[in-house]
Amino acid sequence: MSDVVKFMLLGLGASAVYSLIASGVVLVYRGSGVINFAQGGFALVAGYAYFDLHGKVPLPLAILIPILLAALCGLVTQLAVMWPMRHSSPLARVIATLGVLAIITEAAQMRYGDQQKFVEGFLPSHSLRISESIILPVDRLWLFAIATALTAGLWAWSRYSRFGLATSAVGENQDAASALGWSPRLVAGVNWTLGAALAGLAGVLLIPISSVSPSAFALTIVPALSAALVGGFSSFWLTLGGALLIGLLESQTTRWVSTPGWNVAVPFLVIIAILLLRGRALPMRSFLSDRLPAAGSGRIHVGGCLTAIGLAVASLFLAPPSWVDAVTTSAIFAIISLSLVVVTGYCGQISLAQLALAGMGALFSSRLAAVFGLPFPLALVLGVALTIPVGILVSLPALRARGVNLAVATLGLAVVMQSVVLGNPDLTGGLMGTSLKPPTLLGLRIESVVYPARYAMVCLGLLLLACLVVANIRRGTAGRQLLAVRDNERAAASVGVNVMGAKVYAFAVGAALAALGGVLIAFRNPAVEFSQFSALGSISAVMVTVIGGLGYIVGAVVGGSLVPGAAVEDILLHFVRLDGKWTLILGILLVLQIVLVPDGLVHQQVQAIRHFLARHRTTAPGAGDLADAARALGEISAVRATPRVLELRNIGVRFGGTVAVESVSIILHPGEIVGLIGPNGAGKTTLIDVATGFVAPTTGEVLLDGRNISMVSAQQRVHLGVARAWQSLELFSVMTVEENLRTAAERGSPGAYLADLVWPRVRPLPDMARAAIQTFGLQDVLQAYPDSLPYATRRLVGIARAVAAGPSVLLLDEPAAGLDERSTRELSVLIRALARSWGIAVLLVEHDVAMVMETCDRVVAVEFGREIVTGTPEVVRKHPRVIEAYLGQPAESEVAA
Amino acid sequence: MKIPGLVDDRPQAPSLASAWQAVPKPWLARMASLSPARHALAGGLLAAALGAVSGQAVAQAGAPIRFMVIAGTGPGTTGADIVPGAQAAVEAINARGGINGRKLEMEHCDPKNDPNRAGACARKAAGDETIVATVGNALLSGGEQVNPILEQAGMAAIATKAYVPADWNSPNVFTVDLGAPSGGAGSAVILAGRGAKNFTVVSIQVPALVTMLDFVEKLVLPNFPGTKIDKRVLMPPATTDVTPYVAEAMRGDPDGIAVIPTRGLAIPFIRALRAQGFKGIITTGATVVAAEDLTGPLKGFTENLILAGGFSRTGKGWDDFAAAMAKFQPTAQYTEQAVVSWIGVNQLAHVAGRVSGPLNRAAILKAMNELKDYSTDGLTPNLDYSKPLAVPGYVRAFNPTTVEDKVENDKIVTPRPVTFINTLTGKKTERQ
Repeated sequence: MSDVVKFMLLGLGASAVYSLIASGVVLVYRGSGVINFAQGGFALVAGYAYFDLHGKVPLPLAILIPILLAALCGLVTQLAVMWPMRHSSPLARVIATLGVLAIITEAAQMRYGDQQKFVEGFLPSHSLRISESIILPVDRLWLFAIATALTAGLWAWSRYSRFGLATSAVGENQDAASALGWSPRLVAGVNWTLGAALAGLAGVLLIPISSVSPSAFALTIVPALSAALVGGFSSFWLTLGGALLIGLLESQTTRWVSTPGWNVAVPFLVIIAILLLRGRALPMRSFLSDRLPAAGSGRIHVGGCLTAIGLAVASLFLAPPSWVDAVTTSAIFAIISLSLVVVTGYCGQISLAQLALAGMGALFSSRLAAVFGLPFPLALVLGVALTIPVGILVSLPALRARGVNLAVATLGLAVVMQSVVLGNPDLTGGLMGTSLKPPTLLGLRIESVVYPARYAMVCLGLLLLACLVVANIRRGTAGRQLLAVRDNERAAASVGVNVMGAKVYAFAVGAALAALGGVLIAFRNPAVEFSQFSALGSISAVMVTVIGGLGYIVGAVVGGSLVPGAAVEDILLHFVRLDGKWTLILGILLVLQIVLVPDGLVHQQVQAIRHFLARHRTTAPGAGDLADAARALGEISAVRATPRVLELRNIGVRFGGTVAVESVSIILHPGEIVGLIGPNGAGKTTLIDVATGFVAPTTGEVLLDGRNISMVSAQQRVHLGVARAWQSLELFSVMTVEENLRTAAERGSPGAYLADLVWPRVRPLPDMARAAIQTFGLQDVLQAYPDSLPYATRRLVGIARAVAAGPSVLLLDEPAAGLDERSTRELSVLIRALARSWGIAVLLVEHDVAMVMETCDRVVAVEFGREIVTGTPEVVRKHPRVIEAYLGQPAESEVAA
Repeated sequence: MKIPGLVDDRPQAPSLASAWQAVPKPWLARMASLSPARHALAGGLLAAALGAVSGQAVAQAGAPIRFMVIAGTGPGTTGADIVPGAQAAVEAINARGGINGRKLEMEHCDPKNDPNRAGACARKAAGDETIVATVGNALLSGGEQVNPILEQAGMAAIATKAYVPADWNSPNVFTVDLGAPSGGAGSAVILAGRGAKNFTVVSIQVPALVTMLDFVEKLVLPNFPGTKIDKRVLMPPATTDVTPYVAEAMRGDPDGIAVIPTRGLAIPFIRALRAQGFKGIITTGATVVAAEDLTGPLKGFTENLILAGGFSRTGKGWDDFAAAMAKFQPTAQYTEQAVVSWIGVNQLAHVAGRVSGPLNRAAILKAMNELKDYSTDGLTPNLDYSKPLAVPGYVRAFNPTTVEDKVENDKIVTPRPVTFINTLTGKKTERQ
């Protein structure tokens, strides 16, 4: 028992440091929406400054100046890097902070040289004997007291000060805050400055505890981010709680678990478990998807590929040996970058664990070869295959977390893999490590040491193969479903995409690709060094891929050529003397590039080609015309939906203490149009959410042909014939109109996903989808991107996409919103046709009462979540409560009374 | 250390006899017929000419002897002190005129703890025929990449600081100390020698240092029956606060604690051990403590602190090294790692001076393989590279000895008589 208390108290020092840095992270995030990985860098600046000043200036100045210096770094970062990037994707901004971190750490190394610096702190350094066995250093207690006091101060400041409230306002809605007179730039600048100052304070306090070292300071961001994650990047108290949890678990695990690595791993596993418990399978309605870098089309330019490969192979025999080495490194890391293209570029799941997964591939394959004597090709295949389940494990947080939360969780898992598996000699070959016999392929020795060109060719060949697989994925059903998930998980589920399945698939493919890279790293030399598959290395992999272009296959190739020791550095070395400063240069390039071209270098080139082609196109894609669409109705009369009856029976929905819907019943028959009207907040969209599986009813049942489907997932309901169109459109902006419809029409299955890896067949669209294109007059806009179309056409695309899913029951959420009167009338004709000619049961939620009355067979009116009346349009129109609800007048009977 | 071919460091006049050889015979005949005055003038001109000719001869023969150091320079990297040690040796040798008139030239390649970059460094060395050897390679991760390439290129890796199996097994590697396990093995030997039965070893969780613990348990402690590692405490390389690890190290009241992490963590750890009341023996590797630490952060914390040294600090070898560091690298804050590369460069100079034919990498490799009874002026026992060690897995660990250093008057000293203890046999050898 005394040990439990003792190690709990001893964990306070680390907790305090994590809390200080994490509080800065939270401040920055609240003020600007950026997860700042450079916090450790700011702490480093202050730490070194304190080292320089200690003993040379009065102590208060030696403390104050470093903190101000760190604050200045924060301000400069915000003004010079983050503000110009304010419209970039959150991932791009995170990567920019990594670039800032790289610049600071490399510059610090140049300025302060080789040795770690240690200097006395200013807190009392004596020890406090609490009991016979518990002796505590007093400075750690002081440290924790400072962290707690600062947390209290930050909480009070954020809650009660005008600026703190303005920060919250900016975090919620920048435009609204601007309208109230608060400059988002000022708010972000102040928060960045204060956040960096907190990191500076941590740096000054950390020196006497762990000495100044770039790697140690940079890595404090990992537990600090986890602490901030516990606080939801918003609550200072919960962040302190998270820091305490991590520090205390680290300390306790040191005492109770002797297996190496678990003292690092356990806190992260606990944080990830919390994340999973708190997360949701599908995001809330209020969730805004992060904008991710642009994605490529996956088209293969055979001539370009052959030329590039031919040149690369020829260069192996013409260029100096260092070039062969550089080509090998480039090819291997391009394969690892490709894994990020699939996971993050296509599927939108930010993974910071890809190099660790590469390490797992290296471990499996090399141990199989070393212990069982497996030949290289078999070891490669098994190494890749065995890593796939690990990738699926890494995907688990993605099933309930997204965005930066997921990034932090995967980084934590990378740390776990590194510390528990790859850093554990018991698993990596013990005293003698893992030595490998020279690999052979088709009887030919290919070891890199003796035959570097051969090994480089193997790597290039496998890179080509990997590129083809990723291109196939992008062009197939799988790619469209991944992009749908990346763009909008709710919309993806609403067209029948298995969101969880798509994520697992992306992580599995990503793990396989990363493992392939890892195997090639392992067999490159006679023995394997597993320390290179570090968590920070995973971050670097993301950095270079972002520079190239995260959504592009060529972007991965460019990214691979940027890593240290790869092609770009080798070429530069022929012209300039870099003196090992490539990492610094890369950091500067990264920041410049990501500020100027946030979607990556390749995207810029693709855009230039697109603009060129657009200028030379003879006919521009036109928007569909509602009148034409209405005229075309006769041609598609043969299409009939499977008749089904949907019933919402006594539905009640509560969100916490708020009653959103109370005992509402609606039944939809085939070919029938039922209107659902009510003022804002009446619960109309919530009822659609319940019907389509996005919200679970608190009471009542959802029945389809009499079968209770209340527990059936959203995407499965689409497969059963229940589809919806969204009020806010929710089109997949990175896909063409045709791809939008195709995504809805296709059914992803394990078989289709696997087939896409090899041959992405473009199957004919089903009748319903083709009919939808014809009906809604979308023939001319199929290759256009939704954002380029007029609003009315986008509305049609939204409904057509729902129809393309082949529904028996269609739920339309304010389809006429934003349309003019003529378009609304024509839309009404279309909706009637869907019901009458196709036999679809339609639920129409609409504020345009005239349209509802004109279109619907029956109308249900609701108010404050309760059903007022159900009946024919005529009955409902005259119902006094409806008149009251819409016109704000008391019902006649009440007036009479 | 005697280096054949090394020119005396005092300014020297060209040898007259050899200069005469360079004068064309018709010129000599013409001089014999001159008057005394003209003779004197001609003699002066000749002397000037001889000086010029002689100087030119040294320069022509004296293309620099180039070697590469593959080691990190950043904080926390394992080779941080390697470069200043090598540079000091180069400057000291060159200041004495070089090797047979040829200067030594060092090229440094920093892999920045990246094994692939380390491999690229090795390829760079292998691809440059003017580089005759590598010296002082120190790679926590990268040795597995570097050594096969050097083997393929037929290039000696002199004074490699060994961290990974390839460093102890590559036939091209010539170590001067035990490498990564030296601190742990030396600490274990010292603690065992002082009667410790149970002790704790503290290290960081990187494979090279974790395997060091296996080395101690499997190869060192069997020589000291009754002594065992009671507990292993492994810290992450980026540990924020060492105090929980300190408490765990102290738990069970060990007879001694061997602290073998990086320098950045060793210093706070030793301080925290004393602050938490540990009064027993603390041992650490002399490679992790710099002289400046004793007057800085470790001042007041050195009682009962014993350092497992790889090299004797008493004697001419150390004095020469320290003098060269003071003269040529006065700002360097160095540890024993610098001695490794210092010895390595001197070894290269030694064998280069002995090569009679073309001075290339094959000649250096051959000379190193034949090098026996090499004196480091007392820094180590005399080194013999002609026979691999008969310890499987460590055949290139040519010098597995340690010395017991103490801190006296804020300085690390090796008490006399200097005794080298073989960590793999337990055998003690008193320095002659």
